[in-house]
Amino acid sequence: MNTHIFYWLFATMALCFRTVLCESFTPTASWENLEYKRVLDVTKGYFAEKIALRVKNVDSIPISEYYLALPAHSAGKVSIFTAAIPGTDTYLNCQLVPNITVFNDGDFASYGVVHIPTPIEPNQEFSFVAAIYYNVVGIPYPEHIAITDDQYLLTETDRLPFSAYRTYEGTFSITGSDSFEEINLPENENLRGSIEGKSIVFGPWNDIQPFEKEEPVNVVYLHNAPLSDVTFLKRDVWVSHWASTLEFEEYYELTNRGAKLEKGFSRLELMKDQQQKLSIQRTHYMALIEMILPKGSFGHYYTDLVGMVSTSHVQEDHFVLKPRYPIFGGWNYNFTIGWTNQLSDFLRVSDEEDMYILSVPLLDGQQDSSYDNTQLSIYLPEGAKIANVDAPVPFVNLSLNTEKSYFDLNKGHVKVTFNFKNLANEIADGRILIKYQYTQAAFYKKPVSIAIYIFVALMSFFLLKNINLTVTDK
Amino acid sequence: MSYEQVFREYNTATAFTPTLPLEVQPRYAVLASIVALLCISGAFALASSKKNMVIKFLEYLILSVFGSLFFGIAAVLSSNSFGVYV
Repeated sequence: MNTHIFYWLFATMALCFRTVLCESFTPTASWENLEYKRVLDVTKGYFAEKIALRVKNVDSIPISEYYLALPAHSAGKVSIFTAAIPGTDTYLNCQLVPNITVFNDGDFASYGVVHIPTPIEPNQEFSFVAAIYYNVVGIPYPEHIAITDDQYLLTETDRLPFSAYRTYEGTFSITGSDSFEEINLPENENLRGSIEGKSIVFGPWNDIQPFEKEEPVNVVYLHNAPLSDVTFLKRDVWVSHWASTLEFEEYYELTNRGAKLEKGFSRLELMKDQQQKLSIQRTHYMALIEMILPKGSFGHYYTDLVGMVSTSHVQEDHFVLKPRYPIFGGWNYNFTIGWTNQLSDFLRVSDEEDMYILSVPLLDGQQDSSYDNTQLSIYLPEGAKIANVDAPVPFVNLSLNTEKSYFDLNKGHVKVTFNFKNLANEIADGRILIKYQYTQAAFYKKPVSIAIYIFVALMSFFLLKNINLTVTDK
Repeated sequence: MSYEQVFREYNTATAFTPTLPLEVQPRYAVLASIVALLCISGAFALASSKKNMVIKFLEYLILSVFGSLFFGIAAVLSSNSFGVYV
């Protein structure tokens, strides 16, 4: 009888936890989370999460790696993963790893590894804050609204701390909106959230087992702003030593992931809405696209597939575009913009002979935008030899080839192409660094190459002029 | 070299200075075009003259070399002046 009860208790306990398939990876239980404070910021068109952790080494050896578990719904959607020691400017080395833990219900957890510079001794504590940005945003709720309606978004996320380690105390809050409402409330009132100021707070909970799960949190929040998503960005950067310029050209395929129109588009309704709303009030559709460009930019242009678009203006480093039509939820728009900057703002001369270091910003664009696929190509002058190339964020692939342009009479410009996935504006200031050699001979080769063609033409003219081709009878 | 090393080197290196500033390139493009035109015109005129062949060839060669070089420089500077940066 006792054995019978024991087995029932064991089965009940086992069902409370998520069992792990034997072949998948599970970090060793070397840490315990003494405090796990998770804050999800939904202010922007992509999620920003901060997890403040106070952890303790419960192993018998010093450890310098902490595996931060990431739920399945965010796998492959992480834009940025960083960690820092709170109260300092000290950032820790972080990386996403391919290891996953597969649960018996088919769900899985992926991991980011935080490398602690000095191994933590057994029973010692360590605190750090992990910041993760996802190319994920709430879904419109309701899906269809009128032009004049407010836009609400629904997000579903884990309620309890999602960790491979035991957690002694965990809290969760969502911030970044003036209005939060939890729907699909759990029966257990202790699990429900409460509104505190401009946040909704869940917990605190105590003694959470690794990967312990409760009903997910479903929260609806007000978000009266377009959800700008660049599905594809082709960014070309041309370096010219002769003109001392850095030319940028960007092709955007843009969509608004916000709520769709319930009745179709009405120009009258749109004009009424724009007249009634104050200029500071935000709307769920994109009437303007504001690009933040590098300082000192000139030579701006804005075109789309139809042709030149004249409805744009430049205000210092803001390039404000007015598309041919407002972009409502589910609508797409593609366009091209370009501008030029002084090369001296981005290029430095190395101490090594004929060596230069180019620093190109990863993105220049809207403040609140996510990028699904980005292709960044940097065209170095003809005859440049690359010594080193690196990016501040992981990339899908990197290729090197050549491409001919104006007056390229030899192999053409050296083209360095990066492909990225899931970028966000938070990393816009990140810099691609390219160190290359460009000799004086390569520099003067361009006008000399043109001169050679003209010289050959002139000599051919002389030859033809002085050969007597007339036919005479002797 | 690691990213951090290149980043540090970038921050300590001197800024790039152009060989010829963009603002003065139109002026030099016009000058180079004029010199190229004069040299090439002179070469064409010389090709039709009745001088001794060797002397004619040597003079033509010198005018062609200078004309071509100035043409090349004029092409690059003119292109930059019109906003087509090469």
